[in-house]
Amino acid sequence: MSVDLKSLWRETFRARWEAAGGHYYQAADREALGSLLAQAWGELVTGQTLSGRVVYWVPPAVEDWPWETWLHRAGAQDLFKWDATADMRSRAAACDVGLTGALWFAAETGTVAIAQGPTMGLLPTVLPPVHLIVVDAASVVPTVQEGLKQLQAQGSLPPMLKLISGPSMTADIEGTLVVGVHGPGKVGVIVYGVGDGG
Amino acid sequence: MIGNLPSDPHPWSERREAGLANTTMRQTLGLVTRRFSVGKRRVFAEDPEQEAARRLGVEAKRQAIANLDSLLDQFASKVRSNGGTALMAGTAHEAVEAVRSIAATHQVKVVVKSKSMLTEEIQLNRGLEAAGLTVLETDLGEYIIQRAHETPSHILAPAAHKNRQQIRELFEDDAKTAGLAPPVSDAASTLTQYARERLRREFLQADMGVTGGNFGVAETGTVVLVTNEGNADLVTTLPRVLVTVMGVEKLVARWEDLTLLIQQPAMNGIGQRLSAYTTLISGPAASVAEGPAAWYVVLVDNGRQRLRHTVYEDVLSCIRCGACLNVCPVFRQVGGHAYGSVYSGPIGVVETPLLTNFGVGAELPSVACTMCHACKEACPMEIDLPGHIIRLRQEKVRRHLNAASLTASYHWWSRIWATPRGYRWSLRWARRLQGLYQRQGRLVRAPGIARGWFQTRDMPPVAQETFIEWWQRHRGGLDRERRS
Ligand code: SF4
Repeated sequence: MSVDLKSLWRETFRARWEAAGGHYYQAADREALGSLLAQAWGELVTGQTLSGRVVYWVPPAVEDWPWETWLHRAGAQDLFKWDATADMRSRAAACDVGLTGALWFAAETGTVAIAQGPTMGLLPTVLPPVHLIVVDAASVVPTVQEGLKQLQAQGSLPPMLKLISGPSMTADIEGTLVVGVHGPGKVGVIVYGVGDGG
Repeated sequence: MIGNLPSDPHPWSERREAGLANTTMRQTLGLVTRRFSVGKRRVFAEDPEQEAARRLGVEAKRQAIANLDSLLDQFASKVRSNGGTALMAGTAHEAVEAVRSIAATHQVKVVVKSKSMLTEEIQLNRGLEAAGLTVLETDLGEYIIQRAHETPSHILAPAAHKNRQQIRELFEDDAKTAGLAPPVSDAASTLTQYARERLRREFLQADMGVTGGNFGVAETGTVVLVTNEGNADLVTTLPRVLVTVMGVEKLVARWEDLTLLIQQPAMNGIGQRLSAYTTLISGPAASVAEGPAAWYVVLVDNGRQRLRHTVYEDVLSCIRCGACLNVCPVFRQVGGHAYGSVYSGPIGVVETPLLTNFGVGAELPSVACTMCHACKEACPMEIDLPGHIIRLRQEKVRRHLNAASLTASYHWWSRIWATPRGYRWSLRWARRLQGLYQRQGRLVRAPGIARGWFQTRDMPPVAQETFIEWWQRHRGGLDRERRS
């Protein structure tokens, strides 16, 4: 797959994701991630009356990156790493920010796919008012159709798979659009590894 | 088996007038249906390849209906091997009983629900409440109408008939019983925020979640849910028991079929490429720190399979996108309640009498359609809605389901107008009598069966001399001249 095609898809993703009300950041390399996280924090978290508690998990491939240092520097107070043996319900419910990884992201619909697993929970994607998603630049696909096909080709399906295409929203009251109903009102995607030829 | 649907005891004329008098509803419906239709045009124009996916999707749905028996078996065994339990319910009653016994087995007290037309159809809330359970709707619109003890007025905008002031009042009462601070204003965002906080508590306490299902994939045993609010995500991940209640017609054979169809509800119904939250459930949580420990799928028939192998079979491919409602001139004026059924708009006109063998909504095909065919153009699943409405009208005549006086008058009318002589005779009479019914040169009233027609219309009077009469006089004259 040519690199150009992927960066084209990322551009489409960005346009559609932002049109739906999402925020988009992309980091050329690992070093840039820390400051991007801080920027995202400034735009999505600061200014709301939030206490800065974060529940998080990141993709296994980048687990050893200094996420906690970056998050603290960005403004996070308490950090809870996803732990399948702990009571994640009440923890996630008490947090203001959920930070998670993702399987892939799709250009056409501006969609991020997140699967449930032992080290990856979905509660951080719905309970906190802010959801940040970190995703590998190389995992971009042109369409949801394509992403779902790849998933099936890999064999077993996760018990739960979530496709997120923007912030939680409603038009149930007199047709007025309001964001942030039951899920997060602010969602940000941070793409890493853009400079790695992904 | 014949299905059972709830029905509104008020006659059509009263329901229609109530709809026409509700200005809030008409304004909101006008706003949202237009937004939905404009959005739909835009997304299809921007992504033309989606049209090909849609066409293949129609094929997949038709195939699935044709093979429904084997798909149901396959789906059920897949769900079982994924660790869930699949149950079949032939009637609304059986479905409610199934959910009740699941709740009893797991000692459930509080149930949270995400929006599902099927659970309205089987009146699940009533059934669960009668068993002493607390049931909370979590879709914002559904929560509003549950507080008001009402039913949805649009399948995608259930509370479209309520204005902000009314909603604020409902929430103020609700805040008192819940011991919460009431909403501080009637701004849509404030009211939404109130509902978020109010329901968050319930979500964390609920023992059981109940959802509908937009698609079921037989090959993988997967259920797909689409919402914009994210409430289904809480319903599916927080409670320890999850029950999916789904119509048997929601199944497709393959994962690939799902990929063709997954965007269609949002694209056609609300003009988005995909709903904000789409959830694909393929099993209960195993070794993860969240999600239900037990998952049940209740597959409900309630009159559906009876339509297979009939001319109405394509109705079972409906994906409940709402596109036909958005373009229907009748729906946009009278709103959902006027139909007196869970299902409104063109699909409601067709499906309500079909599922119930004319037990509910038998009047709908005759009264709630102008034969404009807009729904046929709008339906992504290519369901022959106007054709079915005509067929249902014919069936009503065959089965003597119309008032005897109505049938008799149509009978006479068609007898008289079937011959040129009869037609001319009727015109002569009309000309003689029409003086009594005119205002400013227009015919505005008529006696007998024609009275209703003139309630909302007028027409020009019959001419003093029709063209045919004029022709006979002059042409005859010419002929005579030529012959002489
Ligand atoms: S009948 Fe067609 S347009 Fe109407 S809700 Fe069903 S799929 Fe959509």
